[in-house]
Amino acid sequence: MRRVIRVDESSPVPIYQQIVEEVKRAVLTGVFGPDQRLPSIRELALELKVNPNTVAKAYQEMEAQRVIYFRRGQGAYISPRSEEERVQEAQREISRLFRQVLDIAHSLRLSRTRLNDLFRQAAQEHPDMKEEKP
Amino acid sequence: MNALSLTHLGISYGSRRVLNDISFDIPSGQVVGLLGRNGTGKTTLLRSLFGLIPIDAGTVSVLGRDPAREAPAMRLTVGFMSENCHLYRWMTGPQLGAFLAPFYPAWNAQAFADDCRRLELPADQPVGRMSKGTQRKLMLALTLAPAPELLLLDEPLAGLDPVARDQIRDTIIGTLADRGTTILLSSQEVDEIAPICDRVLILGSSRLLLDAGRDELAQRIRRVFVTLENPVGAVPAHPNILSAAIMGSQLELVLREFSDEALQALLANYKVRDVRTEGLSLREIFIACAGRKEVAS
Repeated sequence: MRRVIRVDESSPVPIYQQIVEEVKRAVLTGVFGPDQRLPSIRELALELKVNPNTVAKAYQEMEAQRVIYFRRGQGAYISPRSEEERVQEAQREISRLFRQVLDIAHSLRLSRTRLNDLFRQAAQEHPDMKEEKP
Repeated sequence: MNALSLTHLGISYGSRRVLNDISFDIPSGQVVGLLGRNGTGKTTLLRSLFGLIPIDAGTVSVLGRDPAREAPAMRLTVGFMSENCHLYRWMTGPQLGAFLAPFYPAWNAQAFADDCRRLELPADQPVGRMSKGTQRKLMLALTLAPAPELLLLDEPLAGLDPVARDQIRDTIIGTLADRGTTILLSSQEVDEIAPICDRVLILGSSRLLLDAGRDELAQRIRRVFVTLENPVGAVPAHPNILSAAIMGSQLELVLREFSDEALQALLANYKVRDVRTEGLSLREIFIACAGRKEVAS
C-alpha cells in the first residue's frame, strides 16, 4: 500500500482532492483491487504528513462517490465495480487529459488537423498502442 | 463551540502598536496556521492568548475564559510551546515529567512516556546538555502530557533538522488523530505546515492580511495569464491585485477575492485574446500577500 498514494504539498489543488484522485487512479490502474482494505485515517495521515481531518474528508468524499465503502469498526475498503463502470471511469480520465492537451494546443496555436496528425503519430510510435486490434 | 475567539484585539509595546484590530474565531478541532514575516506579531499574539502579555484593546476568549483574569485555570487545558526553551536545565525529561505532573489533573504519564519514546528523547540527559532539537521535542512532549484541548505552538519546527521536524509533525498529527485537539501554530516553514492546517491566517504589519480555509485558497487567490491583442505599457491598478507584471502583450496578475466578474471588470479596457488562470501554492500566496508593499484596501 505504501507510496501508492502521494500528495504534492506545493500544489494548489486541495489535499483531500489529491487523495481522492490518487485512490481513483490506483483503482483504475488495478493497483487497488476490489474489497482491498485502505489504511486507517490515522495511518494515512501519518504517512502523507497531512491533517487527519483532511484524510477523513477525502474518505467521506470517496464514500459519497462510491469509490470506497466502510465496514463498521473495520475501516475503508475499495468498492467492487463492473467492467462497464471501469471503462466509463477510464474514458472520463482520458477525456480529462485530452482537455488539458487541447488547452495547451490552443495556447500554442496548433490547428486541429495538426493535432490529429500528432496523435496518430504518437500512437504509431507507442509500443503497446500501435497495433489496433480489429 | 469556539475554542478561541478574538474581537478587535490590540496590543502595544509603549507607543508602538504591534497588533491592531485582530478578529477571528477558531472552532473546536480546527488546525490553524499563523503565518507572517518576522516581526509581524505572531509570537505576541500567541503569548497574549496564554495570558503572558496584557492586551490593550478588544476581548479574547480562550476555551471560554479570559486569559488576563483566569490564566491559572485556563492553563490546565491549554498547552503553550514557546519558541525559547525555559525548562530547568539541570533536570532530565523524566524528572521534568514527574515535577510537572502534580500541577495538572489530566496529566497522562503513559502518553508522555510514549511520546518520549517516539521522539527518541534520552532519559538520562539534563536539558542543559540537550541539542536545541531535543529540547524542542521534550517541550512538545511536556506540552501534550496534560492532554490539552487547545495547543498554541510558536514555531514548533524552527531550527530543527529534517528528521526532528518529521518527528514533531508526526507527533502533532498523531495527537490530532487521537484527540482532535484544536491547534493554532505559527511557522515560517510554510510548505511543511501547509498540509496539517485546515485554515491559514497571514499577519502583516500589525493586522490580518488573509484568513482563509486551506481548500478555498486556490479559488480565492488566483494567478491570471492574459494575452492581449497589443503590447501595453501599464498594468491595471486595484487593491485586489497582489502583484502584476507585463511582458510585451502578456499580462500576469495575482488576484485576491477572485471571481470571473471581477476579472472581467479589471480587463474591461483591454483587448483580450486569451485568459488562463491557475491556483497558487501556499508559499506563493504567502509571498504575494506578505511580500508586497502595503496598499490601502
